[in-house]
Amino acid sequence: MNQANAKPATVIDAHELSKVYNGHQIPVRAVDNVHLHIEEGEFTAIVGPSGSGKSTLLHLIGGLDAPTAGSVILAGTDLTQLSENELIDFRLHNIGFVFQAYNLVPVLTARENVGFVMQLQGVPREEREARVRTLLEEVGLADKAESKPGKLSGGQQQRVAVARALASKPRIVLADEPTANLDSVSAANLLDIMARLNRDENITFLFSTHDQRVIEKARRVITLVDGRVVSDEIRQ
Amino acid sequence: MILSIAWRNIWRNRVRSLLVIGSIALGLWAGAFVIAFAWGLYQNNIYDVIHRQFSHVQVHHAQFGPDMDPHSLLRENDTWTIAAEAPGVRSATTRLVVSGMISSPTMATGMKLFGIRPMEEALQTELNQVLMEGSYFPSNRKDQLYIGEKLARKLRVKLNGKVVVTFSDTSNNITAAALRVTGIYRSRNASLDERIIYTEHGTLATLLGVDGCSFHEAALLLDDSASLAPNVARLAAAYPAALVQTWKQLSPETDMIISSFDLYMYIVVGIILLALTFGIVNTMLMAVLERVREIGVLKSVGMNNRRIFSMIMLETLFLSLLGSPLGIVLAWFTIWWTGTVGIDLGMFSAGMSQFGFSAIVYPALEPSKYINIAVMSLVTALLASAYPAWRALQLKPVEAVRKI
Ligand SMILES: Nc1ncnc2c1ncn2[C@@H]1O[C@H](COP(=O)(O)OP(=O)(O)O)[C@@H](O)[C@H]1O
Ligand SMILES: [Mg+2]
Repeated sequence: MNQANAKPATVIDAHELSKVYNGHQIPVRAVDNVHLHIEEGEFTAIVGPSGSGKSTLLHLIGGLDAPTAGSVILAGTDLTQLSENELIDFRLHNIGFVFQAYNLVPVLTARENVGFVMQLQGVPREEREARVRTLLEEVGLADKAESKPGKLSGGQQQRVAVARALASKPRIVLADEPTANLDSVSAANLLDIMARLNRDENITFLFSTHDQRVIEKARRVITLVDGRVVSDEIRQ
Repeated sequence: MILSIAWRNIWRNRVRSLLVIGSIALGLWAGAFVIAFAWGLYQNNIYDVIHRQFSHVQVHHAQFGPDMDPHSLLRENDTWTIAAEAPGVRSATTRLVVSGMISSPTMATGMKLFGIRPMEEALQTELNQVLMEGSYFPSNRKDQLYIGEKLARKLRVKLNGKVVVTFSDTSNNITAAALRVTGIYRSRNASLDERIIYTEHGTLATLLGVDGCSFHEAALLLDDSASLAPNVARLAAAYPAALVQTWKQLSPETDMIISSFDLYMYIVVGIILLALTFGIVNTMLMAVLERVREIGVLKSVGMNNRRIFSMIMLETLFLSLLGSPLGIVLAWFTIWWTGTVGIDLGMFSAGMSQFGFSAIVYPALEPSKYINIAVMSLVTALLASAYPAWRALQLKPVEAVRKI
C-alpha cells in the first residue's frame, strides 16, 4: 500500500572505493575513488570499455577482493571488517554471483547446481527441491533439470547460473558480463529473464556489460572509464 | 553433497583416477607379498633351526661350554626317562659330542663328531632324510661314520672309504680311531655339512671311555612352542646343576631376526607408501590446479574453506579406499595361493642353503598385518592429500575467477 512511498532500503553503499594493482612497473588504479549507492530493486548496468575496472568494482562490492582504500557496506555490513571465512559465509547468504563463464559445477546436474547453494545454507530438503523447481521454471529450464552443464548451451548454462545466484535469496545479484559469451538471441533472452525477475520479484541486479543491446535494458547505467565513474544516468 | 561432488570429481579424469587406484593397489599388493614371502623364509629358517638343528630344548652340563669339555657329562636317569616321555614331547634323544680332527690319506681338517642314537636321531632331526649316498647306519658295526658330502669331497674319501678321527678322551689322552664312511649326507646347511660328522653313540662312548648312559647333550623336540615352558621346568628339575636352553637361546640370531621382522615390515611398507605419496600428491595437485576456476566459483558462491578442504581430501580418500582393498584382496589371494602350493626356490637353492633356508617357501601373513598395512596406507593417503587440499585453500577467489 504505502510501500511504494516508503524509502527503499539501501543495498550497497560504497565510499571512496579504490583498488590499486601494483603491476610490473607502474601501479594500475583499476578502481579510482568510486562512490556507489544502490537501492533495493535496482536494475543497474556498469558499462565501460575493456579494462575500465568493471570486474574489479564488482569483485570489491562482492567481497571477492579487498579494496586498497575506501569501504563497501552491503546490507548494513562493512565488508572490509570481515575475515575470509566470514566473507564466504556473508556471500553465501547475501550475494548471488553470475560470472562470464564456467559458473557451474560440471559434475552436478542443473537441479543440483541450483540446490547446492541452498544445501550449503542448510535449507531443508523439501523446501530446497520446491525452490529449485520454481527457479528452473522461472529461467525456462524445467525440462533440463537433470542435465549436466556439458549438455547445456551457453545461454542455458547462464540461465542456470542466474537460478543458482537467486537460490540463496540474496540481497543482490552481481553479474560480471553475463552475456559476453552468448549470441544475441541468448543474450536478449537472459536479460529478459533478469528484467522480469527484477520487476516481478523485486530482485536487485548489478551487472557489467559492454554490449549496447544489454545496456538498453538497464534502468540505470553507470559508466566507468579508467576506474572512475564518468556518468550515472537513470532512465525511465 | 560434498561427498557426492567428490565422488563424481574422481571420475572426471577416469584414466588418471584408475592409475592412482591401480598404483595404490599394486604398491600394497607388492608390499604385502614381499613381507609374506620374507615371513615364509623366516618360518623355514625357524623350522630348520628347530627340526633339523637344535630341537626345542637342549640340556648340557654347566661346564660343557663352547670348548666342549669331554669330562662334562650327564647321565640318563629315571628323571630323564620321565622328562623324555612327558606330555608335549614329540621325541627325545641324547648325544655325545667331541671336537677334533678328521683325516684321510690326503688331507686333515677340524670336525665335530656326534655320537648319536640313529633311530632316535632320525625322529629328532630327520638326519636319515638328508642321506645322499650309501645308507643311514645300515648295520650294527661299531665303525660306521655318516659325513657331509662337502667334507667327503674335501677329504677325497668315497663311500666305504676309511678315515681317522682324533680327539681327546675323558682321561685327556689323545684317541684315534679308524672309521668307515657308510653314509654321505647333504643337509640344507652347507656350512655345517663341512664340519659335522656322526657315529653311533656306543662307538663314541667306547672311544671316550664312558658308559652307554652318559651324554654331553640331550635334546627334546616338542609338539608346539606352547609346551616349551613346562618342559624346560621339568628338565631343570631333572638336572638341577645343568644348563637347560631353548632354541631361542641356542640360536639367538634366529630369535633376533624374528623380533626384528615387524620393524622390517614397517620399513618395506613405509618405503612403498612414500613412493605412493609422491604419486598421490602429484595427481591431486594436478586435479586442484586444473580446477582453479571452478574452486574459485565455489568459494565465490559461499563454499567455505572447511568444505573445499574436505572435498579434496574426500577425493583422495575415495581413491585410496578403492585402491587399498583391491591391493589387499590381491595380496591376500596371492599369499593364500603361493602359501598353499609353495614357491620352489630350487634354482637359487644352492645359494639359499648356505644361509640355512629351505628351498620351498610358503608365504604367509597374519590377518592383523593386513589391517596394519591398510591403516598405514589410509593414513598415508590422507597425509598425501592434505597438501593439495591446502593448496586449494590458498587460491584467492578473484584470481581464480579472473582465469578464463
Ligand atoms: N590481478 C591484477 N593485477 C594487475 N592488474 C590487474 C589485475 N586485475 C586487473 N588488473 C587491471 O585492472 C584494470 C581493470 O581491470 P578489470 O576490472 O578486469 O576491467 P574490466 O572488467 O572493465 O575489463 C585493467 O587495467 C587490468 O589490467
Ligand atoms: Mg571484466
